[in-house]
Amino acid sequence: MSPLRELLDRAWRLMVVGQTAYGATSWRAVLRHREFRGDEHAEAIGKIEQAFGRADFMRIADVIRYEITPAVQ
Amino acid sequence: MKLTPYGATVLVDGVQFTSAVDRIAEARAQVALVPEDAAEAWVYGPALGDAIRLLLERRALERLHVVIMNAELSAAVPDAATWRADPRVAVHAAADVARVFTPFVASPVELRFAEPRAHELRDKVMSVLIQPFNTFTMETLAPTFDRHEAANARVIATDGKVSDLFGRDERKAVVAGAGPSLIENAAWIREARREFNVIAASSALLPLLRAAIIPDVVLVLDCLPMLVRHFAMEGWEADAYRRTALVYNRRCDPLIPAAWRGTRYSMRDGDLYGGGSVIHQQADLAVQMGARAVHLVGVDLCFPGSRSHVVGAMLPYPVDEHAQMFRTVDGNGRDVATAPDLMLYRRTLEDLIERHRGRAAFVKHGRTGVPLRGAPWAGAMTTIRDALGVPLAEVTG
Repeated sequence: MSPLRELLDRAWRLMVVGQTAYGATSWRAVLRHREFRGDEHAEAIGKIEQAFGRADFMRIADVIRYEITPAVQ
Repeated sequence: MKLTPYGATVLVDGVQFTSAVDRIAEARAQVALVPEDAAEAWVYGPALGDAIRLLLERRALERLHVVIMNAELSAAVPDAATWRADPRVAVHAAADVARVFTPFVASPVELRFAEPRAHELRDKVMSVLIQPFNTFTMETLAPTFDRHEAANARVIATDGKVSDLFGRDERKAVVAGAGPSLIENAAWIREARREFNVIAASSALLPLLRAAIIPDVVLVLDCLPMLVRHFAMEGWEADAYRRTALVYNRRCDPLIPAAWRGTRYSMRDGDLYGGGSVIHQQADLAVQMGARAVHLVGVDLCFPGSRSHVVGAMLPYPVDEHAQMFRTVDGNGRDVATAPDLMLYRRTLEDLIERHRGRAAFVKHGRTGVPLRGAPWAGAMTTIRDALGVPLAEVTG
């Protein structure tokens, strides 16, 4: 698993077990990762930002897991 | 509370209860926190029952405790009968569970929607869940803090130690935090200033000075460089540098003790009770100095009026009511936003109060903050006498 995939996996796991502050930190690390192409995931990133605004953490987890992760090496 | 079908899950007041795509994959990640060979486990909030069903598939599991965090929510969930019928399952109301039992699985959304009588347990569960993040944060910052301590070595060698203050002031104490309600208490503190040993958090220093209250002691615990801004005093306010004792964490930014012109006392981890916030150390210091009555002011531990700090405090942060995952109930019985770190501080402060039971009585001021077990409210706060006239016998009785 690539370091970027590992980061995405970690962010997802932390969100679903309720360690949401740690999960948010991992998500921010994804956004900063040099191999992450934010422009290719703009729509998903927008969904996550909206979900953060509602503290809808299971939604964030879903977008990370099922919309972003499959498209990342 | 409105439940709406959404993919494979439901929305609870618009928030996804579980994954809408693959609930079982999500539940597997959750139950991975429970060792495979565990004979007993706890589930804080059954959610849609997926984690419970996975745990019950384990042969090693002899007892599964399911704690209801919101009775209305649990009653609205279908299929609960399937796991409730298992003889290994014991269902508990959150109010009947005094502490966090491990190993456990917690549903983040159940914690978010916990009913008020479940708040104490929810806060304790969140305190456990937030611990790895706090450890990660401290480890990340450790090199900076190590540099601070090395740079402070010279002043530490010549300054006093916090234990030098122990037993030195038997007056009643005011422990001042920088919560929004601090300023409501300024008038009575100012009027009765000499009767109290005022111990301020560094974040409360400027608001107190601007209310013409010079504390006896200022305590700085946090070691982040930005804390220097708590001491951004000019003109007459800088007089506090000479008249007030500074108690500083040895790992704090060296600019802080270097700028202080009054007496200084260093402290290490473990010198005072550590509950996560400077408030705990102030409260412990008050008792160690000799106070038998400790008045907690500006210790709101929630976000009254969607504010993080009292007006005039440095380093406030925005509070987005919509994004605040957790709610609690203030001293007026009103719903108010809170956050996991504040929930942790509240419960560890209650532990500290319990620890000092019989030695010191704690009194809480400012009903826009949260209530604290073991710290009765100080009168109606309508008159100065109300604020001051809480006899020790009354608050300890």
